[in-house]
Amino acid sequence: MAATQKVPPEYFTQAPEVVTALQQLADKFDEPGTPHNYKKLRISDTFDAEGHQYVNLVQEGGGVLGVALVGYTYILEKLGIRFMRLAGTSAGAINTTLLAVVKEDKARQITSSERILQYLCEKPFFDFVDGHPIARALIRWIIKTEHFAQRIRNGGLWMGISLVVFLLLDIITTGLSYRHPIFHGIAIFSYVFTGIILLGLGFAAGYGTYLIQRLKNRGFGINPGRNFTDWMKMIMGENGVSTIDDLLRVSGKVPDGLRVEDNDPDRTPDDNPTKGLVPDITLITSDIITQNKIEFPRMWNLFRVNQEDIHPAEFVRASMSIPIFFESHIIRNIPRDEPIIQTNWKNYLLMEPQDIPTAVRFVDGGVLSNFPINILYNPEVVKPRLPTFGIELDDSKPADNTQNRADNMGLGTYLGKLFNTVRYYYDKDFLLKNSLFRKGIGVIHVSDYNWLDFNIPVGKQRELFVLGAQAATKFLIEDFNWEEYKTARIIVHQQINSSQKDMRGVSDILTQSKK
Amino acid sequence: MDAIFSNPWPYLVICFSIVLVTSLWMTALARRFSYTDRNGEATPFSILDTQLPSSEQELCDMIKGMSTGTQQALRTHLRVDFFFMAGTYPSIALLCILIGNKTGYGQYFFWLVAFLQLFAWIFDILENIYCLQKLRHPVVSDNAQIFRRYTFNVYAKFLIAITGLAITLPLAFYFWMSGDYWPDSLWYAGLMLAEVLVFFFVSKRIKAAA
Repeated sequence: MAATQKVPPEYFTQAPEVVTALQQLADKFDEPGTPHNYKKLRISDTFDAEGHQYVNLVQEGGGVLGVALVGYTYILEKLGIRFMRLAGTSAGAINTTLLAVVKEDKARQITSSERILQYLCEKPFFDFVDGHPIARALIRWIIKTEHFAQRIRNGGLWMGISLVVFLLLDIITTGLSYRHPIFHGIAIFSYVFTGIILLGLGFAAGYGTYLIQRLKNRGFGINPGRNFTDWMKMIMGENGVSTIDDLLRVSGKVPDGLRVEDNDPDRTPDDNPTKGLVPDITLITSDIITQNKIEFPRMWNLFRVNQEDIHPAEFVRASMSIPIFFESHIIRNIPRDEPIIQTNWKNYLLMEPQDIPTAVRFVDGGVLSNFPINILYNPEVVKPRLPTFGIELDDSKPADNTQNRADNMGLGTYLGKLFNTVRYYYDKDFLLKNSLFRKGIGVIHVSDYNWLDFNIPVGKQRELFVLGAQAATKFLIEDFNWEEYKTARIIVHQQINSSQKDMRGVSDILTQSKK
Repeated sequence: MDAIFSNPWPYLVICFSIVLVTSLWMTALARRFSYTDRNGEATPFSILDTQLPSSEQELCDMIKGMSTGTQQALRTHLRVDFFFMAGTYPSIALLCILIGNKTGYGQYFFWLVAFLQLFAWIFDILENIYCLQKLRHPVVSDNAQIFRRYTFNVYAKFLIAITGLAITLPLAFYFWMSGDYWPDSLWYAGLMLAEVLVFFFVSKRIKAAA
């Protein structure tokens, strides 16, 4: 099915695998009565007036693989799970924002995820690739071509071989044409083809230079990302968000009738069990000027005095600025002399007034923290009232560890691995030290899909949605146990307070590591 | 016409001189090429950016972001470009005729490529007229076909002109290597080489003065 073909949300939600997944969940968690009531499911102690259970949710970035995130959250919502604190990076930031802004339609019993799906169905992803037509064509070609790098290498090799052959033929025929006139004709052909190859290479080099110059003038990004920003503004606008204040109000609305159901013997009648349970969202982006991780919307006041001067869609745009693929997002004219701005920089980033830049340049938050689960870690919580769930997009192909991969790598692989080691370790380190958080993480295996394939056919989008739905189903049926999670968190907290700072041992006992 | 076919060299030198002089003129004008982008930043641009924009909207935004001085410079640049074309395409066509004359039956092919330069010239004229019109009214047209035609004109003229150069320059080199050239052509070739050296010297001075 073509990428541009529009389909209704039911194309995703009524996929046989998704229907089967919901049925499996119903078989496990239904109580007698109305089908698909999932009343036996218990994943949190925090409920609202309608009986929805609440969790915190972190979503990993991953380009178009983000469709799988929607499949995952769709299942969670269908089972009556709602979200308290949300955090995400890049594609995760997009779904995070949409979950916070696009509220469920209670009258028509349509979940947020289904409404998000409706927006996704109406928008061909390739529209986000809004760069130069030639760059668009190249991207489409590169993404669609299997083993593209290998083919390019082969093409370059053949071009090189052809050039050498024609150059040799030029030399040979030039020499022979003095004595044998027949080689004069061959020489003419040979020189013409040599010229065509050389001018082809020259043209490619010239055009490449032009594109690099163009990239330099446009924030080193192929695509301006305006189409995405406009789309995000449109969705926000339709859902009553046009300022930061709107975003904070909508995403921070405490659910009606919020209550905590537990039998905590330590709680006194004066304790408010819901104290501090306030929804919020965090979108991660990386500022390469001050080299900091920036959390939006919390840190918006680093860059402006008035909320109206930044549209919240810019936060999402900043978080998803995949380097080179999208132009980096720049915020200019920071009023660095304003005392309030100086105070904010000092408070958030410990930066002195003289170090505050006049402009910042954001690239994808995934460069620093693609899975910002540490944002939702609160070491002061003794007994968790709700779990922190995470959705990981695992696109790594299984490595053959029986082979010596350390000695056999090219420059590209070497640089790639170097970059990935640096960029993944920040999140990995948190999970190594707090491995029980793994208990709340569901993994969607998406190694068969290209995260930059913005021209992905709807058929494959549906496959991703299904993978997300199946991963959520497996997580709820097989992996997650609220009581076990809660106990583990309590034990770890006690261990920390008894000054055993390194929790790896404890967490390993309690946690069955998935990765 | 017979005079051109019998001895194209003087005409080639004249056309080539027009190309170099107009190039210098346009280089001087291009020093003022800058526009204010939608973030309020002054962004430099080249004539290629107006020929190969991402979209009609980008072209219009670029023009709207230009100061009056830049618009005037671009307008003059486009007008000078008409003279540049009058040197470029006939130069390539003459080169095709010159080289084709030495390739036996191959000359018909070279004549065809020479003839195609006329189309490239027409495409370039249409392209410039479109740009001049856009400078006057930088608004996105309701008819997307017009911008598509403009893009086609740009690509077509480049393709035809580069093809002409790709097939003639290597053969010129071959005839030089094999000694198969007209002795009096050396004077013309030498003159053009001297012009190129002067061109690079002056061009460097102009860019340095920016």
